[in-house]
Amino acid sequence: MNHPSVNERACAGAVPLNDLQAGQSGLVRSVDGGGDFLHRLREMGLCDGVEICMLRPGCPCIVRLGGQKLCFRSTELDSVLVDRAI
Amino acid sequence: MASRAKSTRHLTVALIGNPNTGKSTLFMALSGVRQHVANYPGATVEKKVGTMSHGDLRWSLIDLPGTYSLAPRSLDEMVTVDVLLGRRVDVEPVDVILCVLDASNLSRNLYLLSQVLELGRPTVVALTMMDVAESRGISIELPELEARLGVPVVPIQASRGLGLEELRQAVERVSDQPAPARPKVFPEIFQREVDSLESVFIGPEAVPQTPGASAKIPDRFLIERLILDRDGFLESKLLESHSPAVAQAVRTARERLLAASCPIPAVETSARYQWAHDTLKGITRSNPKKTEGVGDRLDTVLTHPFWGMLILAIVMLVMFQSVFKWANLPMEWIETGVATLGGLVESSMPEGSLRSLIVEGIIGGVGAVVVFLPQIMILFFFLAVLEDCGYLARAAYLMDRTMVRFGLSGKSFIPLLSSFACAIPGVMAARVIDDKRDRLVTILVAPLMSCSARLPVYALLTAAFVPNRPVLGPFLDLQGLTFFSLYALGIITAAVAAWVMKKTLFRGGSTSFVMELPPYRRPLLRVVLYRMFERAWVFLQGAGTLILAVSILMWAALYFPRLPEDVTKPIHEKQTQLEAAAETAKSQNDLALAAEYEEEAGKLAGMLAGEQSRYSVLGRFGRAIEPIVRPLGWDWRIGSAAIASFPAREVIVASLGVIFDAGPEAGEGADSGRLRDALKAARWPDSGKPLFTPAVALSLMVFFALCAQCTSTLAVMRRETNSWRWPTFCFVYMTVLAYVGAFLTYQIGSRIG
Repeated sequence: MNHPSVNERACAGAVPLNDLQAGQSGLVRSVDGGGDFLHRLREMGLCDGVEICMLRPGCPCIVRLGGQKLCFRSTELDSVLVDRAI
Repeated sequence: MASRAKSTRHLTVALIGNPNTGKSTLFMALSGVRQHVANYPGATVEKKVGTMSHGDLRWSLIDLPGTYSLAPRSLDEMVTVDVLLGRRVDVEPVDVILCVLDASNLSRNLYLLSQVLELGRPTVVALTMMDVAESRGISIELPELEARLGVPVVPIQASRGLGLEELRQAVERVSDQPAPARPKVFPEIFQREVDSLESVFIGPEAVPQTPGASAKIPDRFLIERLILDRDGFLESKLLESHSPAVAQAVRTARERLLAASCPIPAVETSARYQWAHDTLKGITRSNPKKTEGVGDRLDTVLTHPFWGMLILAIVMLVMFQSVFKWANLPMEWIETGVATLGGLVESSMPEGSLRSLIVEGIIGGVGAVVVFLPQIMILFFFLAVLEDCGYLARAAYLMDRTMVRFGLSGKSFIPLLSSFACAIPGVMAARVIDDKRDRLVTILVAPLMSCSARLPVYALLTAAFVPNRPVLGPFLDLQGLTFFSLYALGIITAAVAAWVMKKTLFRGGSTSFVMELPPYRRPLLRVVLYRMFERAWVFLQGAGTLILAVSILMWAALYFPRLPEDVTKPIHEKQTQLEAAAETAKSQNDLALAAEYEEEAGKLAGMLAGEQSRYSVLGRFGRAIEPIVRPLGWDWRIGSAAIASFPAREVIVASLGVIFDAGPEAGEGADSGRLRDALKAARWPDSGKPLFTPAVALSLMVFFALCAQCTSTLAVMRRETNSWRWPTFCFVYMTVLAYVGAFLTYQIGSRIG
């Protein structure tokens, strides 16, 4: 799952959430878009500046977000950008 | 409300919280067994009300469905908001809102609380999972949290009864007090938009000036939601009863907010999480341990693509093995009990219509309802254990990849799998699916899974008409392949049907799938048993009466009209003679002769029952529809037996027994050969050729594999969807599928021979 157009943006430091490898974590930089699905994720805590850790990448994926583990389909997640922690 | 302050005061308390916060455990601990479960009229959410008395107060505790947010996206979610705002006629206005917060994940839980506080009702917070929070190194300064929220915060541990008394007292204390101030969550500009929209509602152009129209001015909370929930449920419902001026005002408000960099809907989440952040600032300390917890280590195995799947398969295998193993015995007891009870009535009452109604209609009907209980209870016992320990969400994760191909989500997997044992608990278990379309599709295809009631039909017909020829050496024979094909037929048809329904009837909507994987916990036996009995009761109450009514109707259709006396009398006389002869033979110790006479008498009784069934309304109907079933390779006798088994497919064996003159018990136990022989001997009256060929047997089995012959499932479907529309649709599409399937099977099968 490579997104060349988005990877270009990644040069600016942030990568789409689906690009996180298993075990990698990062800080959410921006969640763009007003769709119902993203709003649901926001309601559950996917906000700017929150630490997120990819536990199982793929679709659906499992992430750790705050004190919880969430599972969701990650096909529509190009608009969630995270600063990868090194 | 002051008038209620005398003698026994009544208190209505609504319980709300995120899923997996221990809300149900608290509900159970507070209300005990005195609760009432039903559907809210027009909706598919359950209305659970527990009643109890505390001091001189009578409590009604309403358990609302677990939710992460009070933004109504559907009618079902609107029910929660309406209950909290006192907008429903069937629920008392709520005096106190009891909000359950998970201490280990406070900021997300505060999101919901911020919405609850905006409702402007007296509120109490019950704080659960303190032990989990502590184990994660989180500490909370409770007095300061209480002061900042402006509502009582009571830490509880419902499973051990800790903090419950303090909680009750806090609820009763605030019920007399004014509601806490609504928190200022949103920026000033947003508040101003809510104010101005409110004035539009009060304005003369928005509300028709009729008496009682003032009640139509929505609560401030709803006006706020109207701005926030774009394309939400409110927008469609609330605006249709008001003038277009309101809709226009909502649109311009959103535009102004966007211009002021408060984009809808993102402003809500950022504002609320900011509020949660500010509320918790300085009063919670967390030093998260970087080491992996037990839960993480479990998850690396249980959600592993290979090991996780393997474990899921084992868990499901154990579950099914247990259902079949443990359900059989109580089911036999129930059947024996029903038969004994029937026998008792039979021996103490004179023969006639009334006795037949009581024995076959009522006692048989009650038996038909109760016999499902063992399977329902055992399945729900396992499902409750799996859900409570947190495994169900992991199973849904693992299966999502597969289920998404048919347009469903991983959450549909367990309900569909349960349907292999019995579609009733399967349909009931679909309640865990929060997407309404997914839930309906799951419910509608669940009866296609080959349930255990189809087994006797498959067994009888396969044994009688499918040759026992090896297909794959010693591993698989033709009979085994037939069984396998029938199961596969159900699964494939269900997959295709689900896919088609998602493409046609249930198009659009979000395909999104978000699910919390709750932390692993040890399930509490009390909670599990409680859940199990609750489902059993829901089944009895919601479907039992209907199943009983259909049983009585079917009894009447088979019983009336009676054969004329000039037909029955000679047979009865012959029977009496034979029985007397048998008695004489017995008294002379000629047991062989007695047995011969008795067998003769038995044959006569079988013949009489067959004559009666052919003479009955159902038998005549079967004859009338013979042209319809002819293309399936059936004669009117098979057709009648199939029709007789529409209320419950398991009666087909008995029906075939009656209609082919072998007697109703011919298919059971040691006698099972008699029915097989009777079927093999059956011939077409015109040509004299055997009636049952492998093609006919296959066509009948395919019909049974695909047809919705189960009143109980349809009744439960009505209960769960709260409408007759879906059970009717399910019945029609499955019957059509069954007919087409049986037709193709016979036509193709009879050509290749």
